[in-house]
Order: sequence, then C-alpha cells, then structure tokens
Amino acid sequence: MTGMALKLLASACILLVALGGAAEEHSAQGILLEVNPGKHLIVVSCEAIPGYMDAMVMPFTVRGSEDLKALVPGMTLQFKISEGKNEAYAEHLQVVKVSNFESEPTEAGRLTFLHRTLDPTAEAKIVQVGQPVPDFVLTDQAQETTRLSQFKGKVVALTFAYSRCPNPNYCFRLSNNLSILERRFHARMESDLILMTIVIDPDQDRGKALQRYADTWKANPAAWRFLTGTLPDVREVAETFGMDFWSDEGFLTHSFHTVVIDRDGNLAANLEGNQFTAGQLGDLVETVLHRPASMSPASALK
Amino acid sequence: MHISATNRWKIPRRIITWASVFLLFALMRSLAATAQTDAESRKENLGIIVLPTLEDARVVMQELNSGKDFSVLAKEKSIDATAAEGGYMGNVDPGELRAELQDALRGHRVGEITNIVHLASGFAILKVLAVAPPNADLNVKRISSLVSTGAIRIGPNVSGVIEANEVFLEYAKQSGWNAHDLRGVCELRTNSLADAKKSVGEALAQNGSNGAQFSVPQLIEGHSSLAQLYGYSGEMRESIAEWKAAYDLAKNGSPGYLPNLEESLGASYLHLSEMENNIYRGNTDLDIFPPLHPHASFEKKDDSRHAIEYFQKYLERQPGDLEARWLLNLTYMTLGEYPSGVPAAYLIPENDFHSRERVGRFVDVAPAAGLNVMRGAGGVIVDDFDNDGLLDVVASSMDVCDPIRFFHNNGDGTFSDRTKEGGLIDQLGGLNIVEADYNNDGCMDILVLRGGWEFPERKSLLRNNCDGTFTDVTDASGLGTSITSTQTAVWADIDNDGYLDLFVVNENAPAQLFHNKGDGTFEEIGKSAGIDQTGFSKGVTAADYDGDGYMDFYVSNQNGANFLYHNNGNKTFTEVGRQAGVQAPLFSFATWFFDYDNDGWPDLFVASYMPSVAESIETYVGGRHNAETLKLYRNRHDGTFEDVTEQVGLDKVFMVMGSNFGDIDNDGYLDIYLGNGQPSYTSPLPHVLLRNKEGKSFVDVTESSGTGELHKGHGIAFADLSRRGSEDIVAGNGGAVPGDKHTLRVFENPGNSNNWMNVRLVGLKTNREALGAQIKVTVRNGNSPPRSIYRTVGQTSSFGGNPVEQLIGLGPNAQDVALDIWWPTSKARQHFAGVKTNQYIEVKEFASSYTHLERRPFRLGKEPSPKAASTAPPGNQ
Repeated sequence: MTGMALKLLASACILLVALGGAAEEHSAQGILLEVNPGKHLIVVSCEAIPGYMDAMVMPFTVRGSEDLKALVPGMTLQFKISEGKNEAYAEHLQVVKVSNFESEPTEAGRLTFLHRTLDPTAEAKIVQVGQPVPDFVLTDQAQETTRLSQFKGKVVALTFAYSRCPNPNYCFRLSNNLSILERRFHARMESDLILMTIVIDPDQDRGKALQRYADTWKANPAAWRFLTGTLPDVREVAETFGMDFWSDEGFLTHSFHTVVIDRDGNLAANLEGNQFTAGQLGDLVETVLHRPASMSPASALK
Repeated sequence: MHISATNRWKIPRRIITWASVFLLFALMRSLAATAQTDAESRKENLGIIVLPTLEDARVVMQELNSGKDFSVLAKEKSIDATAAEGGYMGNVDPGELRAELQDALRGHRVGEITNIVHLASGFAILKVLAVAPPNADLNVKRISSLVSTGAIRIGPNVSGVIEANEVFLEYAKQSGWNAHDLRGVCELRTNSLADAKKSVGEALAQNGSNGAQFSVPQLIEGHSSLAQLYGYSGEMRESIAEWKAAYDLAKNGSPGYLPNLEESLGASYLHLSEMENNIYRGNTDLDIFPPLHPHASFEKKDDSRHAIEYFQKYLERQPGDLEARWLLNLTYMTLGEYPSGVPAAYLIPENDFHSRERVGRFVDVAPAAGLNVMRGAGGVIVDDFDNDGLLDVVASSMDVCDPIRFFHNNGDGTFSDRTKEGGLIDQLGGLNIVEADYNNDGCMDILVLRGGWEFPERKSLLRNNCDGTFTDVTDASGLGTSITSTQTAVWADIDNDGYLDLFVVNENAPAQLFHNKGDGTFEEIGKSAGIDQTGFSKGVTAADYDGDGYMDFYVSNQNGANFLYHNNGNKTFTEVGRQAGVQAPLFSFATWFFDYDNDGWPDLFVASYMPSVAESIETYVGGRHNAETLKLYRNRHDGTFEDVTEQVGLDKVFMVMGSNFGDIDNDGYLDIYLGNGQPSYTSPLPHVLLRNKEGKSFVDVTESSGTGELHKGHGIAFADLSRRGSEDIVAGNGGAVPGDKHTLRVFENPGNSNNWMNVRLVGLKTNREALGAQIKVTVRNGNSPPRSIYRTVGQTSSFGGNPVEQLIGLGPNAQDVALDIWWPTSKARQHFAGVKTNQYIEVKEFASSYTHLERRPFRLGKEPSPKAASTAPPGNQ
C-alpha cells in the first residue's frame, strides 16, 4: 500500500473512532483511485457528506459479492458506507456512468452512440486502463512539436478544450482543473508531472490564438502544453481516449474526458464528465505519482 | 468618516484603533497626492497618426477637418505601432515626449488636432482626446458565462440535425464528393440516413442476445439517437416510439434523463399534431400567433393532448421553465383552448403580444398565387429575372435533395413554376441565394450558397441567359475552386471598375474576395486585400458607410466579434469594427445597411441569435432577458456608429434567422420583418413585424397585421409583386431538417393611400444594375416643409433578397417631388424636378431625362391558377 493511502487510512480511522463506531450507514460518492479485487479493497476520493465527513481519500473493504474486476481507477462510484470497529466498509457499489444530464452532454451521448455503432473500429481504438497509450505528435502553444513519448517516466494529466467553448462549466472547468493541479503539485511540475490541454478546434485555435488561450492560465509551456494539429490528427488522439466532438451551430458538441497517464506510458485513468472536483483529480494524480515506474495499477495495493 | 462610539453600538476598541490608523494613512496619502497632482494634471489622453509622406498626412488632415473620427483614421492609415489601438498613445504627460511633439502639442486643448509634425518615422498628426478610445474587444467571456450559469437557458435540440450530420460524416465518401455532383450529395444524405437507422435499430434489437452489450444510459442514448434520426425525416410516429422506449428505460433507474425526454416527447407530439393536421402544407391561419380566430382548432386533437401531457409532466418538475410553458400554451392553441384552457400557473397571456398600432391586416395569398411551395430553411430573392417588368420569385431549400424553385410572375395575380424550363431543376440545396447582374448583360444572375451549418459544398453561379434559362458557370467563372460551408455573400464593386465583385464569408474558413475581371471570370484576392479573416460567419453586407466613394463590408459572426472592413480604395481593407463601435452582438446573424432615419448615411442593423426560446419569450412577458438584443447602429457621419438600439425600442431578444426591411406603409421610413426560430422542434416563435416611426422608434405591429407566423423563418423579401405601389412580404418558412418544411408565405399588403414612386436605374459606366447608386427624393407632404428620403440600390438583408428596383414611399399628399441620383463609378449626378408620383420610372446613367414605365396593377391570386404549385417539387420525391 502506498504511503499516502496509509496516512489517509490512519486519518479515516481516527474519524471513525471519533464517531464511536456507531452502526451508521451513509450514501457516498467518489472517484475510484485504486482497486484490489483479490483483497476486496478500494481507495476512493470521496465527496463530502454534510454533517458526517469532509471530502477525503478513504480506503474501504468492499462487503458483498460485487466483482471488483470490472472496476478501474477514474470511475465514479456510488455506495453505502458502513462502519466496522476499525475500518470502513463499502456496500452496494454502483458505477455512475452518466452524471450530467444537461442538453449538450446528452447530445454528446447520443452522438457517441451513433459514432460507435456506425464505425465498429471506433470502440477498438479506445485505450483501456492499464494499456499503453499510443504515442502521438502535436504542436504546442510555443510552436514546439510535442510527442507523448518524450514524457516517459513522468505522469501526464490531460484534457480537451477549445477557446470559443461558450460554457465555462465544460471546457474552462476541465482545463481549470489542470491549473489547480499545477498549484497543488507545484514542486513536481515539469520534472515529475506534465499537463496537457488538447485543443479540438484547430481551425480557430492555432498560432497566436492558441498562445492566447494558453495565457488564460498563464501556462508555462514546459509543464503545461496546449496542443493541436490537423483536425484528423487531433481527432485521432481524441478517439484514443473515447473523446468525440461534432460541429454544432458554430460550436462543438463534445464529450468530456480527463486522462491520467502513468510513468510507463500506460493509461492510469480516464475520467468522464465534468462533475468531479479538481481535488479528486488531484488525489488520483497523487496516487499515480506515488506509483513507481513499471508497476501495473492492479498491483498497487498488493 | 466620523467615528464616535455610542452606547447603542458597542464598537470594539480594536476597530476604533484601526480606523484611526486608516484615517491617518488616508490623510498622508492625500498629502502625497497633492504633490503628485501637478504631474497628474498635465497628463492627457493623446492620439497619434503617422503617415509615410507629407502628401498622405495632408489628405488625412483634410479628412480630420471634415469631421472623420480620429481613431478610425488611425486604425485605417497610421503606420505607427499604435494604429491597432486607434492611435492611442495612452494617458501621458506631454512633457515626457520628444521635443518636436511637445512643441506641436503646446496650447492644445481637448478635441484639438496639431499641425503635421515631421518625425524620423514619418509625418505625424496628434490629437488631445476627450476620452481614451475603446481599447478592448467585445467581452466574450462575460456573455459566454451567461450560458454556463443558467442565466440563458438553452433547451434540447429536438430535430435530429446534429445526429444526421454525424451520420453523414461517418458515411464513406469519395474524394471530391462535394465539388461537383449535387445529386450525389443528395444520395449520400439519403443513404447515410437509411443506413444509420437500420444499423442503430439492429444494434438496439440485438442487445443482450450476445451477452449484455449496452448499459442503461447507452440504451437510452441509443433509442434517443434513433428518435432524432426519425424526427429529422419527419417520421414522427417512429420517432415518438423511440423516445418512449428511452423514457421507459429512464423511469426505471436513470431519472436524470427524464426532463429532457419529457420535453422531447412533448415537442415531437406537437410537431406530429401539426403534420397530421396539414398545418405546414396547408397555408392555414392556424400557425399564426396570436391566433387569428380565437377558437379555431386542429381537426385531429389526440397528438396535441399527448403533447400537453408531457409538457405538464416536465412543468411539474420545473414550473418556471419558460420554454416548456410557451410550448404548452401553443399546444392549447392547437385545441382552440388558448388562452382560456391553459392552467393559470402556466399561462402566457395573449395581451403580452398585443399591438399598440394598426397597419392593416396582411393576408397570405401564396396558395391562390401559386407560390405555396414547400421549402426547408432557405433563401428567397425577388427580382425581374426576365425583364418583363414583373417581379419573379426564387426560393431555395437547404435540403440537399430539394431543387431551387423559380416562379415566373404571370402578371395576372398568379405565378408559374419555371424551374425545369429554366434549367434549374438540378440545382439542389442551398441555404441562401443572392441575385446580381455580375456580367452587366442586363439580366439578373443567381448565386447559390451551400453548406451553411452542415458541411463544405460547392456554390453555384447561375448565369441568366436572358431567355428564361440559366447556365451553371461556377467552374468556368473560377468560383468552383474553393469548397466551403457558407450561407452568405454580397456583391459590390470594390474598385469602381463597373463590375460587381463578390465577397463570400464562410464558416470556420477564411473569407474570400472574388474580384470580377470583367470577362466572366473572377480572381480570389482575399489575402492580398487583408480581408480573409476566419470566423463562423453568418451574414455579410456592403455599403459606403463613410462616404469616401468606396464600398465597405460588414461581417456578422456567430460566437465572435463582428468585422467592419473599411475599403482603403486600393483593393485593400482595414478592419475597424472596434474603433467604429459595431462589434456586438457576440452571437450575430442576419445584417444589413439601410438608412432608417433618412439622414443620407447608411445605418447598420444586426440581428442577435441565441438558440434560447426562454430568452425570446422574456421579451414579451416583460421579464429580464440575459441574451444580447438586436443592434441598431446609427451612422455618426465620421466613420463611427452610435448604438441607438435602446433609444429606438429595439432592445429586444428574438431568435432571428431570415429577416429584411421594406416600407410597408409608404411613409418613406423602412420597416423590418424578422423570421424567427432555430432547428429544434421546440422553437416555434412568432415572426415579428416592426414599424419604423419616422426614424425615431420601431413598434411591434405583428398581432394587428396578422404576420406572426410560428414556423421557422428564413429568406424574406419586400417587393411590389402586384404593381400596386405597395410592398408585399414574401417569407420563406421551413426548418433546417427535411421533417420541418413549410410553404412559402406571401403576405399581401392591405395597401394605403400614401404616395410612392418606383425607380429602376440602369448603369452605363457604373455596374448595369446600379448597385451602390444613391437615390435622394425630396418631397413636401401637404404644407409641411420639404423632407428627403434616401435609398441605395442593392441594399438588402444578408438573408433575403429585395429587388434592385426601388419602391419609395413618399407619405401623404406628396408634392414638389425632386429626384437626385449619384452614380458611384462615374460620380455622375442627375437631378429631376417635378416628378409625378405613383408611377414607375427608369433612369439611365448620364441621361438628361427619365422614362415612364407602363405597369398594370393587379391583385395577387385574383384569378387563381387552375392548379396551385404542387407541394412536391417536380422530378423529385
């Protein structure tokens, strides 16, 4: 078990002790950070439960017959917390597939369905957690050619956006999450952690416009690359992560993906939607940062 | 600040102490400030224009002295680095400037201009500005944030337009598919849709047979996407069945989807109800709002009742939702139960739509005239294409399988469909059309623009052979080489060589300026002209807004600042939108130049477009709207514009698509008709007729005129179709998807007793159709003092083509009528006094007299043709 998880386990225990081990049950939701199906263990970055606990990272023993093999880091889980003497249990685990029912994400859901039905190769192009992410080459805001493979040995957190995106809760929020990561992991930026925003509107966001967009967050190009390329190139990279986008009345309708790639260049997590917090993403990144190279995610809890 | 601790308010000692410190600090600061004041007070807002030669500087000095705006001139002509900022140097102390500038500025007060100063870099002119010029572009972030915060509600798009485009995108195509073969594009559309419906249907049916494939959300998305594809084609029963399948799944475990599905089901049922009751094909009065006949209802009512059921379910969750409330009210109208039957909590009162003025009732005569053709979203142009003195009607449809339709005016109140005879039957699709006599042969040609909102596709230039037929000369003319998505273009002679050039603006591709070489071919010079900016452009219009003799361009963009391109007179342009104050709205659509206040200078109208039904309804119910309003910019005569939107009462939000202007009451002031809506079946909104009251305000006369068509509004033209000296309104209706077509409407003008004249110009040195020629009519109404009315030939909306002939309303008892004409290429002027009113005249450039034209008035549809226009296009469907 990683040091961080141990530390957090300790604090979680303190919390539980303080509550006196009363047999309470609470509905909880969070982002899965780690999973060990063999030991029925999960670590979750939980959302706050008003009157019970703040948002925090907690390990749980999963009770019940759930098969944890289908779970991968980055998923949103809903479950019930019940307290044992010295540990917290998670019961009635459910994977939350869709968390945003606004018109645009719903539209993106329909379009994704159409895309994957009509193009049977689309599904196969999507990298699964634990699998190596194919290398890609795009151009950053300083006009530098950037390859994913040049960051091997470092952790990469990556999302998608475009500058004319009218809804700050979508593109802005996802890139702003990266900005919060930059502050949280300030000392490790560039040397240990690389951020990427892949810009999906290359007709508009190129050259100076791309630079201006990166300047929104005063992004240091060495640590935070705003990347674009030809439309087919961008689309190909996006499809690797199951990210799709469509032209719609002058805007782009798009799905939401935030991706973490580990030091070996394997996919560590692929977060869908925009409802998770920057703190949860940070917890996930921290978990991946703690993993030494050449260690598969499944072995993390061994 | 006075502080005294009283018994009533115990102020902690600590705060008092801090307050004292603060006071002391403030005192020290103010002492320090006094010392600084002298330096501060010397500071001035300074502007500079630097020209390369003394001669250039003298020209600019003359322009400044004639009242032209300093910052616009700086942007256009200065070679200094400050040009982009309108010449603004900042708030500076002149004492810090180099000696020759200090000398030049000495003794100058605010508003004053220096003499020409010789610098190493060139010849400078400085000005002490009253205020800093606008130095920030339109605040994109502020407007965008209104969407995200929910301040602007954007509902679901129930039409399948995005799904059908995705399906089209996925479908295998050969390279060059969009360059030549219009029939092939139709086949791709048809086949891709059929293929997708089949594949998705099969995938959903097979679910579970080879183990569980789809999650519940995926199944909901799958059924919803199939519902959208059926909805796109207008197969509403199949569509509703799929929406219901999704709805049942959502009820059992994914309740987050329910509100959108309820609204989608309600809107689909309402659309089905309208189709079942032949509302779209039938040219009935039943889709005009407010209702013309209070208790009239649809014959078949079941589908409307289902719609109500779903809208009410939705409203139980979100009772304040204005979009759903509006749709509920409309559905009650289809039952003849609006307003009385609408639950009080959801009622949108009819009174909110009441007109305070009457202009007479406009009646749709399209069926009787043979013009009731079914169209999707498309352009409408009205002009005399066969030179018989009668105005013909051409309408396009963006459905890539629909041919353009050409209607010949028979002169007896009826029109004949001559699409086939004219050689136009293969001209499929086209979101917009624009007319012009590009080859100066005296016959109006047609440009078809394609691909708007969809995918890049070829344009077509259709040369009028002057014998009732047209030839596609796109490739021969050089316009076939670039394939873009566009819905707007404007013709203008940019270099006054007597030939009309073409400016095409695109969606997400550089704008293109095609210079007319005079031999039937064009050369693309957008880049060298400095006018090739990329935007998601929705409208373009042209006028010589600053009176320098050269045609300028204005481009309206969706999701970006608009551009004003000043023509520098040497085939280059400078973008001065910010300096001229015309960048808004951020979300723009149709636009035009017109002289709404008859001061002799072109003013600028720009429609705002935000696909939010709620925002439009707020305009009526007196709520607070958060979306941008229409914009009317009054020309200040100095190269800049004043935003008079609020002053004239146009600070309203409508979801404007097609729109145009004309004079419905012949008072000499140009009125406006707006065609509203967006692709979604959730967005039937009344069109709006706005009467111009003497250039001072615009009042809504929709209800009293009966012109509140609810269906999607596209190309609109004002035209004197029946030669009675009054303008009828030809309104293209129909949505962005094939399942949402509607007949063309022709709202016949009830007529009035005001005088008028109809002027047709023929250019000899100036381009033949006289585009850009300026007409001034001076008239006395009864015993009133003389007034002037101004028109510029060729001015029309970017989304609707008025004829080039100018019907000019003169008001009541018009006397002492004089006509002045100015020709842009020759700069020739003509003056004719004592012109008789209520007649048609033709004026040739340089001629010393004008010709009276014989025209016979008739009533539209008076003698209905044996067969109205077939509702299916010939040779298709």
